[in-house]
Amino acid sequence: MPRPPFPAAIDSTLRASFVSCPRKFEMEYLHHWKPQTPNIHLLAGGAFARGLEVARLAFWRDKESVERSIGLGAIALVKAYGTLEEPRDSTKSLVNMLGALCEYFVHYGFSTDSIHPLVVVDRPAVEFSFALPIPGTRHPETGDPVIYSGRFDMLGLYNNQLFVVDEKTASQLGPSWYNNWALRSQITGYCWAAREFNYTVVGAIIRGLAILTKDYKHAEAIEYRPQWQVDRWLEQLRRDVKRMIQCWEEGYFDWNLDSTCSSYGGCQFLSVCNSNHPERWLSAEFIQRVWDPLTREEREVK
Amino acid sequence: MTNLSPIDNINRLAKLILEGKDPSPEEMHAALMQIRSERGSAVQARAEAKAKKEAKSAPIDIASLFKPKGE
Repeated sequence: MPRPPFPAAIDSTLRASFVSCPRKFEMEYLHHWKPQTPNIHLLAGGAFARGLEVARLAFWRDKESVERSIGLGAIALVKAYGTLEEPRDSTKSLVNMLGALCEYFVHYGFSTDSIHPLVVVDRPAVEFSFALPIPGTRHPETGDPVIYSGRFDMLGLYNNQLFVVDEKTASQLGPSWYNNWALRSQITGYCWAAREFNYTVVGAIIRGLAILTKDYKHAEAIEYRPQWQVDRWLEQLRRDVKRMIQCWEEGYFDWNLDSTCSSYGGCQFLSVCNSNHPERWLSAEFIQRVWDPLTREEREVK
Repeated sequence: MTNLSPIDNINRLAKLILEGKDPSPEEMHAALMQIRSERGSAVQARAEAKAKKEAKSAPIDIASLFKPKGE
C-alpha cells in the first residue's frame, strides 16, 4: 500500500485505535477503510448530541419554553439522523433516539437539573469544540505541531464547581459502565482542553442513557482529574504521536495479534489480517470513508 | 391525524422534516409525549403481568407439608 498522508489532527478515537493496534489505525484512519454499513452507534450518538445541543441552546440562550426547546431539539435530531436504513438488530432506531431525547429532559428537567451550563458572555457553554496544538510534536510533512481535537457536550456547574459534561448513549449500563471512565483518555483530554482555555474544570460528569428494547435507564459518573493526571496524559499523548510518526516514517505499523483481535466480538479487520492477501478483503468488504476529527464527520472517498 | 398511532405520527413528522417541511416545535413535542405515554403504559402492563406471574408461582410453604394430620 502506498504511504498515505499523516493526519493533521488526532482525536481520542484515533489515539485509542493506535494504542490498541497500530495496524488497525493504519487501515482505518490512514487508508480510511471502513465497514460498508455506516456505524449506527456513531450516527445515532451524534444525532442525539445534536438534539441535546439545540434543545439546550433554545432553553438557556433563546429563552424558549420547555416544550418548544424539546421540540426544536427533536427536529434537529431527525435532521442529523437523516435517512439511514436502520439495522434490524439495533435499538438505536430514529423513534428510540427521539424517545431517548424526551426521556433525558424528563429525567433531567431544564430547571430542576443539578447541572446548569456555564454562561459566558450571555451564551451558555453548550457544545464545546476544540483543536489545539500538542506541545512538543511536529507533523512529519508540514513541520507544524500535530493538532489534538475533540468535542464535548457542555461546560457545566455542579455544586459551584466547573465540570466537563458529556452524554453517552449505551446499550446497557451495568456496574462496569462506571469503570469505563476512570483514567479514560478521552475524558482527560477534554479536561486538558478546557483548562487550556482557562476554564478551571475539576473533572468530568458523564451521563449515560441506555436505550433498551422497551425502556431507558440513566446513570451518572463523576470523574475528577487532578493536574498531575492531566500532565501525565499529555506526556503519554506526545509519546503516542511520536510512535505514530515513527511507524509512518518506517512504513511499518505493528500488529497487536492478541486480545484486540478478538475482544468485543472481534476486530472488524479480523478477516483482513487473517488473509495472506489483505488488499482483496479490503476492496471487497470495505469502503473508504474519511473520518475528519475536526468536523467529526465521515465523508466518502470519491 | 388523530387516527395515526404515536409511532406512525412521529414517522410522519420525521418524513416532513427530511422533506424540509418542519412541523412546529409544539407539534413535535406533543408527538414525543404520545410515544412516551404509550411506552409508559406498555412498561406498566409488563410490570403488572410479571407481578401476577410471580404471585402464581409463589414458593410452597414446605413446613406446612410436614405438619401432623389433624392439626
